[in-house]
Amino acid sequence: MTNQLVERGYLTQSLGNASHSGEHGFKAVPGLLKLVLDKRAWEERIIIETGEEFEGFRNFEAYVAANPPKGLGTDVDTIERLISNDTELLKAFRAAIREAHPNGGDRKSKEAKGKISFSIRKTDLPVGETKAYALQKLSDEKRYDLLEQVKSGKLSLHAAMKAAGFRRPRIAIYLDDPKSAAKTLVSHASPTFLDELRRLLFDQQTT
Amino acid sequence: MINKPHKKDLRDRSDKLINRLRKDFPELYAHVLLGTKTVYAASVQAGIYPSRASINITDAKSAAKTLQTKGSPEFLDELKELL
Repeated sequence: MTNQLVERGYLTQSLGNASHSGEHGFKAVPGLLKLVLDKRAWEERIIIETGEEFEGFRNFEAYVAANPPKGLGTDVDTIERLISNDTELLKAFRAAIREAHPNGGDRKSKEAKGKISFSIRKTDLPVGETKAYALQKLSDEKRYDLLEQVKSGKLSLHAAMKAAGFRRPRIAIYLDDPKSAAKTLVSHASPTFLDELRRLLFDQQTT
Repeated sequence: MINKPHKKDLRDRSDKLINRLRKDFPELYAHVLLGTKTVYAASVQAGIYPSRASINITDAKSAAKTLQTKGSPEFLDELKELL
């Protein structure tokens, strides 16, 4: 057990330093973060700098934000930038952050909801069209088959989201060039869709 | 150390459009600064960026509605003929 506490201490020290060291950080942070997540270094550990035993943080997010030597003294966005090329690690990192918010949603009381809040959210969980959101959504919905294909490069994240039915296929058409718009629609949409669209557009004209 | 732009940022044309608005369309640029217009809305109005609409190609009803809301009558007439 003592060895584990010391190991967590060293991992925290190394990751904290690496996340503040520019180019070196890009190389070192992914490997160290994998170990930190694997060993749950935010929990009970020895603080290497002082030798004292620390009870640990309640969640990973607090560990990231807390100042050294207890925490990493950085923020979620910085870590994400440093690991943005490793989708698997990004997924694990997001999962660890979400542990702090297991129930999600707006859980404020009715009174609190009526008040205007000036507080700034510390962590912006991924939303909308972002890569992080797509990874989180596929992971949450247990579409590991699609995640595997994304990881191996067979499928893009957007294609995986479409295949899972979480994103509707859309195309952008120019509104100032009908020829271009028609060409785009004909080349991307199915014949059934085009028949239905023609009917709807002509119906609208006659009514 | 060279910070390479993120892939997402490479597709983001807003910096170029803002510079162009500042240089050639100061009135629209002022609207963007005041927050009364988005960069894209101002650029479309200035004619330096094409007006576009995102069409859902799995739902014809939704697509027709989007086209009717966003397209001009002339555009719709010509599109109907071409389709």
